[in-house]
Amino acid sequence: MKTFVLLSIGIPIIGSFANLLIKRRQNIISTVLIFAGFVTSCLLISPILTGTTGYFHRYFIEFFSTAFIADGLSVFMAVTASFIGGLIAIYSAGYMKDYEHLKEYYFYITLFVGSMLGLIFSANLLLMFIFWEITALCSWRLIGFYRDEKGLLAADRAFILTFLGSGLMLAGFAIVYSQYNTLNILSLSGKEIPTFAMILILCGMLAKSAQLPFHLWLPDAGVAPSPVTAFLHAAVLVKIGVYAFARLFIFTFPMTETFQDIVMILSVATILVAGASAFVENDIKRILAYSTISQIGYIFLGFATDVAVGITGAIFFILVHGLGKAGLFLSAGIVEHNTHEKDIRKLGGLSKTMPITSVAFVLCALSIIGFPPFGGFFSKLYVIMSVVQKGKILLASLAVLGAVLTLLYLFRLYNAVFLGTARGTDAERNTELTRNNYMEKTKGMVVIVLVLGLLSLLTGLFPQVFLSFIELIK
Amino acid sequence: MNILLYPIFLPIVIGLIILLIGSRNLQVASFNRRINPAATKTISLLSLITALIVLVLGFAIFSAGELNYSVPWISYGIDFSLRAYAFSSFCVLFASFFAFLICLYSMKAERHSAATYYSFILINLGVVNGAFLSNNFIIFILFWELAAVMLYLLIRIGNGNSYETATKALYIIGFSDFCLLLGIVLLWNITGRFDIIHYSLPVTRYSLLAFILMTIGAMAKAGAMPFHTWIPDASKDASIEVMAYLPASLDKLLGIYLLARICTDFFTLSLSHSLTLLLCSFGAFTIIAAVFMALIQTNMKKLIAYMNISGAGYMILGIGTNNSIGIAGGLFYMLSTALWTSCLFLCAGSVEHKTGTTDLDKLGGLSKAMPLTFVATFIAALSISGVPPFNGFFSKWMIYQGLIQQLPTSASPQALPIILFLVIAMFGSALTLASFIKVIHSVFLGQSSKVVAQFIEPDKSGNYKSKPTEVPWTLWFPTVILACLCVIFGVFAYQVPLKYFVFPSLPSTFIGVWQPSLATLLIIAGIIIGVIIYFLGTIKTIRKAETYIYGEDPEIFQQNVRGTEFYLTISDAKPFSSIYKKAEAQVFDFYNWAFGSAKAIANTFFICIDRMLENIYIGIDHLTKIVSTFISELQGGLLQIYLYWSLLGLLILLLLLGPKRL
Repeated sequence: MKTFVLLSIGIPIIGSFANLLIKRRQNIISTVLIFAGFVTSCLLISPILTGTTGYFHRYFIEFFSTAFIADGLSVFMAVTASFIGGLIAIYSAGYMKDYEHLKEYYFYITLFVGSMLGLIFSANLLLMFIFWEITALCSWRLIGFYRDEKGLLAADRAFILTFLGSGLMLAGFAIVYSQYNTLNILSLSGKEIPTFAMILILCGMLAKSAQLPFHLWLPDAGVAPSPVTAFLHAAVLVKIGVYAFARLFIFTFPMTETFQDIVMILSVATILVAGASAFVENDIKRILAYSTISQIGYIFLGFATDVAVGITGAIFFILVHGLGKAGLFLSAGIVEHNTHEKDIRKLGGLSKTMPITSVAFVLCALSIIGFPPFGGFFSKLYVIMSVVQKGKILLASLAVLGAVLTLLYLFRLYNAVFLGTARGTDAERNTELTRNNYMEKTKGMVVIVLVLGLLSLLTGLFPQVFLSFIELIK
Repeated sequence: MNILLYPIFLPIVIGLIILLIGSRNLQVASFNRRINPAATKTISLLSLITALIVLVLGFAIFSAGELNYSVPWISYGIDFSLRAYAFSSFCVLFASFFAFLICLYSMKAERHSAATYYSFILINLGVVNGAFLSNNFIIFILFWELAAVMLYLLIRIGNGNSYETATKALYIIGFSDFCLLLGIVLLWNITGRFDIIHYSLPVTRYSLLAFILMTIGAMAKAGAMPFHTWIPDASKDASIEVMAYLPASLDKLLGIYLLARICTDFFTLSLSHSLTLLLCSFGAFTIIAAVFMALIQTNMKKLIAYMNISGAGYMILGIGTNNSIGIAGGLFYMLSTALWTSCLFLCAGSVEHKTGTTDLDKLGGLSKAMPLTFVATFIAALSISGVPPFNGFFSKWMIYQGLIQQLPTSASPQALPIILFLVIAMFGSALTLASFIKVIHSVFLGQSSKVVAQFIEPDKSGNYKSKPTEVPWTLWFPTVILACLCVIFGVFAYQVPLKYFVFPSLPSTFIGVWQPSLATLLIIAGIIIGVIIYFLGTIKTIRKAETYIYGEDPEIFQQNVRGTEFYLTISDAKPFSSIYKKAEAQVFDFYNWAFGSAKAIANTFFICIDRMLENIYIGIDHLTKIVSTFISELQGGLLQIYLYWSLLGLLILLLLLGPKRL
């Protein structure tokens, strides 16, 4: 197991630097590297199924060790992140081919996946923090990829806000260290820490997962290229916060009652406020970004209940949301790439010219909303069940209202972009140029989007496969 | 494979196969809309055969009595368990029966998206059967919400703007489905299990919320007010077969099935008098408001859509009485409504097929050309108005009887609402009759209008534009079958529908004895009032006609007794006219209210929280800049300033350290 863990982290990280030296075909190499991370993580599944948990460490100094843990949760996250990341890398080949600085792009996304896997497997709080900050650096450069004024500002904002959170988190880690003299997760397991330290650590997670009140950077980050936003929203960045929450507060430190209440109220507030903002916005990517913020709220809500059913639902939702949101962003990417328009008031009628994208969009949207037979149904159901089980009827009702809100804004988006009539006069619409622009041009991109849509369907048709694995985690 | 799996998964699988084959040319088809007659024919035949097989299966399940099937699926008590007993299997039987008729009816229609249409019809059949048969709440809500998605997709296969109505339907049904979901989870929290069994929970404070949420789900599916507003819109935009298939029959069965089970199996309402009253008042309000709207409609489809809504009101009224005869009446009415509303919708479809319009103003005199459709419409209209001996009479009689049983023996203020409900129900059927006399008059009787004449009368050279005959048999046959069932279920009410379908479905047994009583009197009063309204309306319209003076166009006299003008006296009357105007302008559309307030609240949230945080962030950003500029200016390289700072620092150090030394 040790080799697989090291390989899955090492291949993308070292490979990304090696990739810088190569002149051509970075896209293929980068995709291969990410999928190598995926394959090696997949190889860890079979030991997990037999019930073994891999753990190994090597001490450098007193409080810092390269400790890695491969249990159900980390393997699940690693497989999810590297798989979705790989699909997005394939998609990028079509989307990014006309842009400059491609070398840099592929370097950062490969490094991103590598450090994400490192973060997932690490069992030392400081090691986790180091990988945490590497991902922050990568996201900073990726958001500012176009190097225009707006992009750079958005990148700075993302970096500053997430760093604010992670700085507070580091303070929380310091309190933990001062109390127990170790930063190793296994030795900290079951130890009680003060609520104040918990809240400090929570700030880092909220900032990384773009939850209220640190969520502002995510909608702005939409100025980045679409594969990057999909990457940040679905595969890597925002999932770091929820993963860390699960790792620290479900598997390591027991949550106090007050802390649970704070997280639950905060996540329901996030669900509603971000959902409402998504309902008001007019830019495709900002709507989807607010939608991510709102949906991540459900994951936090499920974890915060600390009830078996809620944890299952939340973990399952990480996968489902990853697939669905990647599909939505990549569909939006196809629309934006071909029409050069992000304002939904200026779009319309695209389902005629982009039928496959439109179908994939609906599949992913239904999954995110929580309609059966998509994975989103089961995960939202489980989360709501757990909140009801905790006896918080009001919060459960508000969470259900949030799901209705999701229905409202996603179908508003779908109707405005894909249905109705295309804007502009007939003559404008019929010119060869516009008609060509409104077609689905690159096959690879469309196939990826359709695959994501169908996978969303698959998670709902055979939920028992995924849920039984998630049951093993606990 | 258990037999219970077939009626669910056979249509779904066949539907998916049709969809996959049909969507192979998706990209081409959307640009170049061509119809391939051979392929369309194959697909429609395949769907017809599938629906027939499911119908036979449904009959086999129905005659087999109680069947159970259960496999463990996912954890937390979510098993894939199915149960067929009298109630669910008769619903499956009728759902398959309607699907078969709709497939038959659709065979002759030319459509661009035949593959998607038939596949959605079949998938919807499987999904609805799944909801009826499921014996686990999660399986139930899974199929139930899937039915909402299918409804969305089926409405979308309509004219160009149908997607707006489809989205409206999805929003309303989606909202109610999420309510139902929450209700189910609350119920799970109380009982600790997801099995659909006989819980009979007393309605206390906590379970009251579960009851209300689940009832919202059921009422929205059945199309009761205030969740009805998508149905009249859909009657304009969706194809008429879809209207006859979903809101008229299958969704009605689903919604009332759930409502009946909520009231009989899951909760005990007997002690909570106010709750039954609330349910009844929703029913009564639905009846009267929908019928009043139907009265002034000038489009046959929209009129039937409102009648369909008012039917839901009668069922809720029946089930709301919460005694066995009332609930039995509600179920019987559910069955009857599904029969006559789909019959009326399909008849309207035949009229549209023949003449290209369902606008009452443009139609007239069709009875000569379409005698079978005329008879079917006539029977269905008489049934819906509660004229004996059709099924409407008996089902209404049972609902009235249920209400009368609720009357306290001595005169008390509690009797008032029930008397009110009785009067409303009676007026409802009177106005229904009046509306349908208008339909019959303006579509089938009277003189043939210009539009109709060009189809059924020869032009000057003696040629017919189309043959002045009945529509093809695939179109009239389903309507005639449905009309025959209306007659059979009426004449043999006790021997067939009640004995085989309704009574076995209910937990408590009840022996019905035919007795001429207050209920019968009320129905007869309803019929008489309906006829009176009709005559009042016509007399006034005739009176309005001016005397013929030479030189005027004789056309206006041919046309002046149009059916649509019958009830202008009502709609022009003082309190009604303004209400009608507002209703037509959708002022009372609760959907618009809810949607508008959702938008407003969302805006408030966005501005007050999201933008506020944004401004705080920008403020901190500016503040940091100001502070750093100030500090950097302090370090401008001037020696004096550095000297001052050093002196200040020294002073502070002295102050801090000094007292200790001393």
